[in-house]
Amino acid sequence: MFYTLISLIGLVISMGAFVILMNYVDFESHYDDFHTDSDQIYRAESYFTLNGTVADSWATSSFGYAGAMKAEFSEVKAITRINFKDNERIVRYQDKIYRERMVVFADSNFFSFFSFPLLKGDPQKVLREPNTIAISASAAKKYFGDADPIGKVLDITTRKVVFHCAVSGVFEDFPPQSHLKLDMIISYASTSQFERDFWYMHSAYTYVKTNSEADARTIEKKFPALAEKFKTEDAMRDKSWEIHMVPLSDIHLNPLKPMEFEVKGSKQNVRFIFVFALIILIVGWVNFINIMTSKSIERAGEIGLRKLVGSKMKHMMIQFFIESFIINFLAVSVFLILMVIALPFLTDLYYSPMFNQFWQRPMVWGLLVLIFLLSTLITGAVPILVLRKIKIAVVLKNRMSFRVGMGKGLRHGLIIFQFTAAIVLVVSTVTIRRQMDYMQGKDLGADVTQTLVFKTPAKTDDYEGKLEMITEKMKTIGGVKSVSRSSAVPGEMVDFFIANQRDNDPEKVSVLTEMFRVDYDFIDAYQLKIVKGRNFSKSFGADKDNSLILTQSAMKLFGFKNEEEAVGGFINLEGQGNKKYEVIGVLKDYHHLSLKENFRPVVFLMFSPWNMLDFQYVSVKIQGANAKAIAGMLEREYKSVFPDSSFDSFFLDEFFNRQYKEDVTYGVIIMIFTWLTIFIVCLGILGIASLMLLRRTKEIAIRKISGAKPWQILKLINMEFIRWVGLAIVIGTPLSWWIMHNWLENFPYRTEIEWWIFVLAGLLTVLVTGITVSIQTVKNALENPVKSLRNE
Amino acid sequence: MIKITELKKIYRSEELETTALNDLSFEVKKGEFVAVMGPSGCGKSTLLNILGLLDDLDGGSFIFNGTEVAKFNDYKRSDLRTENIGFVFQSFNLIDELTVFENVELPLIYTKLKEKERKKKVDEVLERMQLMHRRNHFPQQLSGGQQQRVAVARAVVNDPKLILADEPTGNLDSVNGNEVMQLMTDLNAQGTTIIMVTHSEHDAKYSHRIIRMLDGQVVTENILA
Ligand SMILES: Nc1ncnc2c1ncn2[C@@H]1O[C@H](COP(=O)(O)OP(=O)(O)O)[C@@H](O)[C@H]1O
Ligand SMILES: [Mg+2]
Repeated sequence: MFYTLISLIGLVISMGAFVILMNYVDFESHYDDFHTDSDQIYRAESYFTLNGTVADSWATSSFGYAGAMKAEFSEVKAITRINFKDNERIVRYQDKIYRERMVVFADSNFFSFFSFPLLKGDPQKVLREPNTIAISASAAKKYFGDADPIGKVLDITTRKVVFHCAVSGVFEDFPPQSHLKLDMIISYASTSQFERDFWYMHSAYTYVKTNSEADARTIEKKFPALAEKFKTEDAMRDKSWEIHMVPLSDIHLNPLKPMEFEVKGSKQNVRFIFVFALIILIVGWVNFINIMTSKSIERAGEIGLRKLVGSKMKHMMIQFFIESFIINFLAVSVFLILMVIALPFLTDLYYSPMFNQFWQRPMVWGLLVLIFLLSTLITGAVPILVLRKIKIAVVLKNRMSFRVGMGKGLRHGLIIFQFTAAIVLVVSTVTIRRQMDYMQGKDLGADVTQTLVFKTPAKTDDYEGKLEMITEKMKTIGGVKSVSRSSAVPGEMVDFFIANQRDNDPEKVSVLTEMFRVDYDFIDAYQLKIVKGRNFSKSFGADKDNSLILTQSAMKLFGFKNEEEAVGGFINLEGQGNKKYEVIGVLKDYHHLSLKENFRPVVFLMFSPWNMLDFQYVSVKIQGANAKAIAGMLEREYKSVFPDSSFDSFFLDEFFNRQYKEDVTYGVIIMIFTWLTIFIVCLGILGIASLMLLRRTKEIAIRKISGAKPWQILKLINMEFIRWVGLAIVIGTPLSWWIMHNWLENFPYRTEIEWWIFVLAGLLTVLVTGITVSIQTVKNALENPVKSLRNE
Repeated sequence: MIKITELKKIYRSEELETTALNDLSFEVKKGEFVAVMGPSGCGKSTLLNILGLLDDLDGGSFIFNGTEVAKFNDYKRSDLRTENIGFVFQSFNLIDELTVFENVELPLIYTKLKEKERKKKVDEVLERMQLMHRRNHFPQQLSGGQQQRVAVARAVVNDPKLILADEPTGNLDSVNGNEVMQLMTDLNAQGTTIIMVTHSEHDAKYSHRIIRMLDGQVVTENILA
């Protein structure tokens, strides 16, 4: 009973973990495959090269790609495009005002190209007319309640434009496994001509359907030549404009590129979790097999084994299968019951994709059946094979077989596997955790604490004037240290790339830099460090529209040798002819994004090139504890000036750390499953130890009679296990180092894998093993040997 | 060497109390070879366990080599035992997973002896017991007589002053039995004190003195030589 319970618990945990983790792996690796023809759809992603080396790689294309590709490439079967410029818009219906995250323009074939189901409206027609809009079911509910939304007009506002769009369709909320998560889609016909065929703004996603993979590659090859016809301006002329046709199903797990909005998965994390799932399953099986074989050896006894011939052997096999069938069936049932109870809590608690629509997913059921059958087969068959081998060994009565033959070879191998797994998991957990702490603890070079950020309002008359006015007014609120406007904030990509040149550069190299519009106060407010030169200042009239401040990365990119050369140097901005902009300062590189990203080449400026670089955020640095009250006052101030806009604010440190959310969760998953695995390993040790003691009672008694002290007995039994731990340490240390070394390679800024982590993992395993074994052994060690022998 | 007086041993379980030894007294001198006889269940094994310091007693006195050991704790008993006493059992009690050599070496493992000296001693004893050629075999590969010789070898390997044998020939045929008895006699001749429990009058004749027991008490003592 005791042994059955141990193997059952081990199986429940390992099978359960396997199903949960594999379901997650499946979930993550099958994004976007619900579209019919999903295997024929590609996203054209921009890839600029200079003399064969990559200069930039974006997920986007320009507005003009789609039209030109459709006209020129016969390989294009269908093409559709999303324009996400100013994707965050304030939407209003009567007194309902919300800021919607993803409001985009899409070509009229969007709903026939993809398979997103429409609840209302005709896929062929919804996006055909100008000033029409399709909205998600939840948006419909939010703005119109139960009323029919069709024909109702929404006001859709950016900082500069207002659209009045009649609802022409309602789509089902995009499913969780879609890389696109759109709230509202305006017909492309509503946009200006410029947003249809312009080649110098990469704010579109272009999706292409082809007949074959080969066609997609052909398109890739033909594209640079096509681009030559359209890149008529100076900017980026020196670069070759290429595209990568990225299969739809790869998008989710590919690394994050500039201008991607969705929460990305990680191929590597998925692969790791897959391996962990296998490890934990095997550990559970090993546990089960170990206990079953030990038990049967016990049961049969050596003499019994010798008698195991023909029919008896068959009988025993059948018995084994029935037993493992029952236990596996029980394990699956217990898991199901536990999941029914736990699922509501789990979905709230952690990583929802892992438990998303758990019971509705065919994968879960498929896995359960598969694992049940496989598990029954393996846990039923392996003990039989072992016993067979033992039997032959016993019959042959050969010298070695007495020592090694009792199925020990296999069992020891399995035990070593378990300990190795435990060590690898502990090292991984600690290293992942340390990397997370390292990234979140490292000085960013910019102060994101005590900062409340709100998003700038929708279009009004005298927009910039009013914004400046409330900025000044907010500065007078008690507890407010500074208020500054900017086009981005740390944690949000600067995201406005233009191709600029150093003035008088003989080679005329234009480099893509990110343009970051700020006001006089921003650099001080964020405590960015000026290495050379000065900050923007009101005492220099030209700063407002003529001066630039570079980060060190931007400085190097422009080809300045050092700060001395940069400050006082001049730069020509894209589209501004030969106009010279003066570099007045150089900033120390700071982490604008998470430490998963490198420093970025950023150019700070106060004006808006091409009138396209809006202030999107206002950062309020606060002092003291009463942030809530201050937020309330800010909102009142804001509402009094911008009654038609929603007030959307957040604390910057939380906002910044959201970039690590995936990784932290990933770390937590690994940690939980590490502890579960160690728990199963403990169960295994417990079972094996108690069986071992059963087999060795007589031996222990004889040893005690021969003079062994209780501690020597403890040592004897412990050593039996510690030996295997030792071997596992020898195997596990380089293995885990290698695994973690590879994992860390993905991070530009990373911790060291310190030697003590391995010591810790080793000690922990030794300790856990020692305690488990000793608990089992202490009774035998203290027992009067006479009694044990009498019972023999 | 051994002097017990009014030795008492009571086994208590939940339902019943068994008085295994009831005010037992006798003395064994250094160099003696004593046989203990009596019907099954009269307390012979219990007596041997107590003499062997494997079990504690419930009353009386037990003087071993001039020291009162009745109140010794486990640790002290264990030390005293390892230095002075060797055991031979009816069922041999060898460890199946260990070779003949390793089985014989066992009592030395728990002393301070170095490996080299241990090996020397074990080989010496194996030689004496004519088991050298079986050195690396496992108990299961040996005949009963050979196994018991290994057990005797183990009992004498650390040169004990006293050997306690509980029906050493009980599982052996007469040829093998006699061989073992001859070994015992030889050991005794070399100065080892022996107390042996036996059912066989034949075996008992090898001893100097027979103690006959009944219901935990000594009934008679016959002196043979
Ligand atoms: N560990 C024990 N627990 C309870 N009773 C015991 C125990 N050992 C022996 N006895 C009882 O004590 C008595 C003497 O047993 P034992 O010394 O083995 O006799 P002998 O060796 O003469 O056959 C018997 O009645 C036996 O049942
Ligand atoms: Mg007896």
